[in-house]
Amino acid sequence: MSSGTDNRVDASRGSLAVTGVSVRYPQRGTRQTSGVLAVSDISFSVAPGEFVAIVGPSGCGKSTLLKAIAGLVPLASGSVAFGGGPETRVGFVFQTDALLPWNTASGNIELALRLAGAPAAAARERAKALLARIGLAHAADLFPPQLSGGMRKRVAIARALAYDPAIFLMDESFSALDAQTRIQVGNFFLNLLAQSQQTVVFVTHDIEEAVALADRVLVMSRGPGRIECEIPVPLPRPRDYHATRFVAGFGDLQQRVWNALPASSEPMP
Amino acid sequence: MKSEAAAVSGTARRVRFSPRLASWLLALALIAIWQAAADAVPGMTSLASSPLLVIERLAALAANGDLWRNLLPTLEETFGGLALGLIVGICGGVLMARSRFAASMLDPYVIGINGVPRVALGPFFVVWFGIGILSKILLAVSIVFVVVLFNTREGIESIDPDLVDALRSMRANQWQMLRHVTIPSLVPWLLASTKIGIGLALTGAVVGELVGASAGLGWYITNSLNVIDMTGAVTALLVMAVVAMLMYYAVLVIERRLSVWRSEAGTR
Repeated sequence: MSSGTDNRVDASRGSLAVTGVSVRYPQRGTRQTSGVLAVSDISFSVAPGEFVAIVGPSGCGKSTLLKAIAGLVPLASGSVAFGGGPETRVGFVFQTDALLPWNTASGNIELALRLAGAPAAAARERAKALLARIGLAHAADLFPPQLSGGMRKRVAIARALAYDPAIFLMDESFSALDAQTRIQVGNFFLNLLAQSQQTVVFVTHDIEEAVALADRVLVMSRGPGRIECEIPVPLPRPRDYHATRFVAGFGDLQQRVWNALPASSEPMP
Repeated sequence: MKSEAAAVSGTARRVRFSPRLASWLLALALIAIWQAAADAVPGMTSLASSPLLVIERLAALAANGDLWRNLLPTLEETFGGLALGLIVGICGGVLMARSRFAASMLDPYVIGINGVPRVALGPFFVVWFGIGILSKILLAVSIVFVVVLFNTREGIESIDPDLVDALRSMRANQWQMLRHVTIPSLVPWLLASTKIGIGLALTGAVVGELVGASAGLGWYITNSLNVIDMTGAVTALLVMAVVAMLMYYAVLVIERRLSVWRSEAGTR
C-alpha cells in the first residue's frame, strides 16, 4: 500500500512509516549509540488522518520511540519516513506543557510560528486567532505560571497546531492533568482533530484512554520494547473522551488490550 | 473560563510597610545609641568615632574632592572585577557544563582555587601587578569567578530538557535555542551570582587597597588608622556599605524587569 516514491507528496501527507527502528539509550559522556537497547526492531505504518495509540508497560521504551520518530534521539538502526518528505513538521505535545515560562501564552505560539518561518506580524495575528479558537483570547498576555494546568495544556496543543503539522506526536499528553480537566482537554483535542484531520501517534500507559481515542492500538512488550500486537478499534466517531467508554464493545476492546500487555513483573503488595 | 482567569490574575498583593519602616527605625535607633555612647563614654570617639563626626567628615571630604578621589578607584576596581569575574565565570561554567572532559580536567583546580582564601593572594597580586587598579581587579576576579562558574554550571545543568526538546521538535537552530531557552534559563542564576558577586568584588578591591595602593577607600582606611584618625576610617567603611547596598538594589531593579513572568505569578 505504501509507495516507495516521494513524488506524490500531497496524497501521502500525514502518513508515517517506521521501519526496523532500534534505539539505544545514549551512553553517558559519548555521542555513540552504544548504550542499552531501548526499543528493538520496531516497524509500523500510519495512514494519513489515522489515530494510533501505543501502550506498553513502563520502561518499555514507548516514549523513547516517540522521540526517535520526532528526531529528538538518534536511531541505532532503521528509518522513519514521513509522507510529504523530510521537511514535514511534527507537532510534539509533551507530558508537561513544555511552554517557555518567560513567554506569554501568545508569545509561545508566536515563537512556534516564527521558527516555522512566519513573519512577526503574521505570527501575532495567527496566535491571536488560535487563542480565540481555543477559548483563551483573554489569556493571550498571561505567562504560563499564571495559567491553570488545563489552560497551559490547551496552549501547548495550540502551539503544536500553530504551524499546521502533518502529524501530532503525543507523549502521555494528558496524564499529568486531574481527571476532570483531562476529560475537558481530551474532548477539546478530539474536536480540534475532527476539524483538521491530523494524523496522531499517541503514547500512553492508560489502556482506557488508548481505546477511547485511537483507531488502532499498538501494544509493546517490556523493554527493550517491540510491537507485540496491534488491535483495531472499530468504535464510531465522533468520540467523546469520557462517554465513549460506555459504548457497546468498549469493554471487550479494553480487555483485549489488557490481555495483550505483558504481565507485570512487579509483585503486588 | 472567565473565572479561571480571574482566579489567577487576582493575585493578592499585601501592603507591607511595616518591615521597611521597622528597618529604618532600627537604623535610626542604632545611630542614636552610637551617638549617645560617644557622648557618654569618655574616649569613645577615638575608638569608634560618632555619627556627627562622620557626617562632618563626609561633608568635608565631599567638599575638598577627596571623597571622589578615593571612591572612584574603588568603584573601578569593584565594577571591573565583577564584570571580568562574570565573563570568566560564565565562560568557565559553560565550558564545564558542556564538556565532560573539561569538567573532569578542571574540577580539581576550581575546587582548589575555591578552597584557598583568596584574600591571601592580595600581597602576591600587588607584587606581581603593581599598586595600581590592575592588582585589585584581578584579586576581585579571583574571588568572584568561582561563584559565577558554579552558578552557571548548575544553571545549564538544570535547564528543563522538555523545553529543549520542544524547541528542537520545532526545528530551532543553535542560535534560537540559545536565545529562547539557554539564556532565559540562566538569567536567574546569573542575577543570583551578581548579587553575591558585588560584595565579593568589593572585598577583593578593598583588600587589595589595604595591602598596597595610593588611593581608594581601602587605602583611605589604612591611611587614617596610621594616624589614629578613627573618624576617617569609619567614614570610608560606611561609604563602602552604601556602595554595596546601592549596587545590590540596582541588581534587584534589573531582576524585577527581567523576571516579570515570575513575580507576577507568585504571591510576592
